[in-house]
Amino acid sequence: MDPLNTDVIQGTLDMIILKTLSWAPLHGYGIAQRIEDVSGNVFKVNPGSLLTALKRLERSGLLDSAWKKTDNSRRAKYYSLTPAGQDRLEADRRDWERRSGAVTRLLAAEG
Amino acid sequence: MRFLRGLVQGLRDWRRSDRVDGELVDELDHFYAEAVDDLVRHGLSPDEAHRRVRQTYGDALAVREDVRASLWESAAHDLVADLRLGARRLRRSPGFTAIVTVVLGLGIGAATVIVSVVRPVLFDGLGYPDADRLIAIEDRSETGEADPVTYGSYLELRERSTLFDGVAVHRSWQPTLTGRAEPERLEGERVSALFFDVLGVAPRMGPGLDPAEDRPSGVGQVVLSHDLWVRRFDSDPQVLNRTIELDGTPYRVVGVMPAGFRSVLRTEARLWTLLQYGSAADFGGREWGHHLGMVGRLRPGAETSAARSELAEIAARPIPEFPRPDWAALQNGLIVTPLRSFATADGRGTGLVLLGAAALLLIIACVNLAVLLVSRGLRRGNEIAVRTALGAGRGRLVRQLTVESLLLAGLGGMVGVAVSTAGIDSVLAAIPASLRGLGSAGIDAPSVSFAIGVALVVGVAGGVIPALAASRGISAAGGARGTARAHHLAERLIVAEVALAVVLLVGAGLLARTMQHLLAEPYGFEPGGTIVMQVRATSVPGGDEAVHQFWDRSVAAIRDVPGVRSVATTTQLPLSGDLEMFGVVVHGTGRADGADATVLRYSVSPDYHDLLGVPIREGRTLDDTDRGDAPPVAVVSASLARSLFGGDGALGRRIRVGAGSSAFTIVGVADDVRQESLASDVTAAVYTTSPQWHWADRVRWIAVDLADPGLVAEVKRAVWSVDPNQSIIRVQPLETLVRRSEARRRFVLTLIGLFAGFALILSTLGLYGVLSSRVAERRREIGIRAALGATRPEIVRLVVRHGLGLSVLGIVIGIGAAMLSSGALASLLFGVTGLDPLTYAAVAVLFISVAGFACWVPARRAAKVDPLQSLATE
Repeated sequence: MDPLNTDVIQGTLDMIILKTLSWAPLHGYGIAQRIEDVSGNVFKVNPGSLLTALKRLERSGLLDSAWKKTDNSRRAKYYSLTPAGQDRLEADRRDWERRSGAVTRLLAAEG
Repeated sequence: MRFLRGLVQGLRDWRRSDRVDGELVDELDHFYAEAVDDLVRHGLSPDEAHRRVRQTYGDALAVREDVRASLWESAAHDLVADLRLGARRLRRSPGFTAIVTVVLGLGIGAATVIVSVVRPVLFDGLGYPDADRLIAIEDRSETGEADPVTYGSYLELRERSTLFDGVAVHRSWQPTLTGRAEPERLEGERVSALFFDVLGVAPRMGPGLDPAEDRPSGVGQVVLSHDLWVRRFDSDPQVLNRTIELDGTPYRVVGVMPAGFRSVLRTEARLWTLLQYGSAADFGGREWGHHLGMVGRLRPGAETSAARSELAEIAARPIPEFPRPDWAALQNGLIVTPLRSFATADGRGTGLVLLGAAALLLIIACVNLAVLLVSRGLRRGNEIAVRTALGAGRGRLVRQLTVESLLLAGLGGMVGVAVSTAGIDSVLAAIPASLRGLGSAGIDAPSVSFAIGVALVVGVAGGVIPALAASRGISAAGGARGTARAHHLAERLIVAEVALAVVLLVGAGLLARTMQHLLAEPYGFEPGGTIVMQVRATSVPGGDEAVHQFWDRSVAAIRDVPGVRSVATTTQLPLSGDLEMFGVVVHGTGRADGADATVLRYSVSPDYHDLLGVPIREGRTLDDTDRGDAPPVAVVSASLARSLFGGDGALGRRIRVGAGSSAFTIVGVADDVRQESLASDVTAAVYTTSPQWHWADRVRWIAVDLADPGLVAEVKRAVWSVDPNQSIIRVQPLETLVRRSEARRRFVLTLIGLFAGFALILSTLGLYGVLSSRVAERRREIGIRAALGATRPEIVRLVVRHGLGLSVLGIVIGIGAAMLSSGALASLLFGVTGLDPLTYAAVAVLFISVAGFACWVPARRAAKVDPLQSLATE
């Protein structure tokens, strides 16, 4: 049996990260967990692509970061959404809804 | 904006790259630790949890590398490291770096100059809107050659053709700007009214030429080029409607063309006036002389081929409304050429030859770089082996060698830009006027980008190949075999380099032989110490009689100057660029369908042949008795006598020259004189005295034989003593005209000669480099040979034979390539074929001697190898 594909849909990782961080600031592992949980384990994120994406988003000014103590008193880098990130999330979401709606309609269409 | 932020952040992270690395490690550690904790919370043992996490996410170290590699500064980091390494290595061998840089710089600089110079004819458009709709129209002579059209034909074609938006004609015009500070002879054109409309360019200011004035005795109007307006009129915006004096006649300024506008068919023209020809009713008028260039603008959508067939149709079917004289009956049809190819035809062939030579030189420089890098790489074999052993990947090695070669090429490119900037002016100054169209605004942005592009290509090509070869050799075979392979590569490269250099040398040799032939060619007159000057009696008041008087009195005044040995006047001077031709009909043959021959027309003063040293073969020369009221007589050239009368003897026969001419009796036959160029065989000529010609020419050359060239000022003063208002221009020794007439070939020869010399030096250098490294590497073998009793001469022979073998192979290949490509030079050659054996032999001998020298130096070094020492060092 082929393992089910758990890769995040191409091109949506940035948007998913932004969305995840729109609830509260999180560290890298927290983001990965959150994505797995919320997606009901449909998506798994590996640290390589996650950190690469975080680095990129941070450089683009969509995220801020700060080192803080975690609940279990480890030091971790927490990421949070900047206003620019907020705007980008809104834009990405609208775009996604428009396009995924179209795909859904296309797949549902008959004859 | 986002890109900028990324750049800034990247730069900041790069500066603190250790800290950033540390953060990344911490972040990943934290990620892994949390994952392990999670699993432990789910009941796994810590060991099991660690194992599982590594399984799912991969090794932390590898992940870190992945993340880091995704950041641009990391690639840049490696590159900078390579650059530093390369720069350090180049600094360590300054001699090598300097030689390679200069060699490449000269190659790139030369190519850049050539490309800038030939760009206008080979790559740039005409600069007119919809230029592909412009075509040039010429008459076709009986012999199938192109002839300028007559005004009469123009009028007929203008009316009868249907496929054109407009047609226009133009001719050259060289007025002298007078009435201002210093009289200046300007280059210009007389054009029909729609000339600028046909080209599609309107004046930037002013209404332009008024079609209503394009008639005999219409108002004089003139349009100025932008640069003339800037230079002579200080960019005066009030210049419109001002009156300027050209050849003593007032002209009203009615327009200034936009900056950069050039009339393609006469790029040197800086002002334009109306043609102002008559109705062409009279076959005897200038309206029926073949002297006009014609351009047409096709209607949108009309094909050149359609225009060609329509014009052929018109030419073949005369109609009564447009009577045609015999010599412009269009019975041979018309020649229709797209304007672009027409305008660049002259410079194109030469441009391609120069471009080819520059490309060859560039390839040679590139091969040379590769050769030097390979031979240096051989000496660096150890270093590369060590680095490989220390774990440098092959990709990294190749990149490093390429970076090094790119560094060299970059330095070379900089030198190249400097060289081309310094050299372009002298090349531009050397471009002969006959190569119109060639030229350049200087080393501009496109030229510099070209130089940079070439440097990049050279850097990559010169670096990657040896780098690949070296790294493959090293990694595959570790030592000896890799070195041997690199040697083969170096040898193959050197053979290629020699072959290419031979091609250039053969080209230069063929051109040199051509010049030799041309200058040995009899041109029919003796320039001696004769000084010539053109006198433009355009503002002499009165009619023909006054003009004749002006010339007579001027000649008399010059003759009175002490030190003047002889003086003569002529309407055309050989090799001056003048070319005035008329049809000739033998009187009494009753021939009506066109002329019996086309001839150069000279109207001269009696001493002309004597002064220029043109021998009279038969009969007599013209003399003072051949006045206006005497029976008209003519001297003809030997070639005309032969073509009209064969061996029957021309003396006493009568000919008509031009339409409505009285019959001239031939009284003498003169030697042929080359009028157009040393290579041209157009020598059919008719000489008459000026009073016997149909009209009085206002523009004439005065030739004086002076005891001392310093007397020129006296001669000019003598002319001005007759009439101070006539301008005297183009004062020069006749000798100068002879030299300048072959300026185009000389120009190409000089450039290709320079290139070839450079190529010779380069390939000698390359050969020397390869042999030196070969000798250095074979020290041990040579030592053993010496120990076993080989004598010094034997060892020298060994090395020299090796080097000469390579050279001979290169020479053979090069000669083959040169023979195949010699056709490209055909149009520039004269008196030799592209396969001239002497040239090829000379190049081979020259090359072998130079190569012998290049081999001999390392060979001597090899012979000095001390067997004991060479064996001990191993």
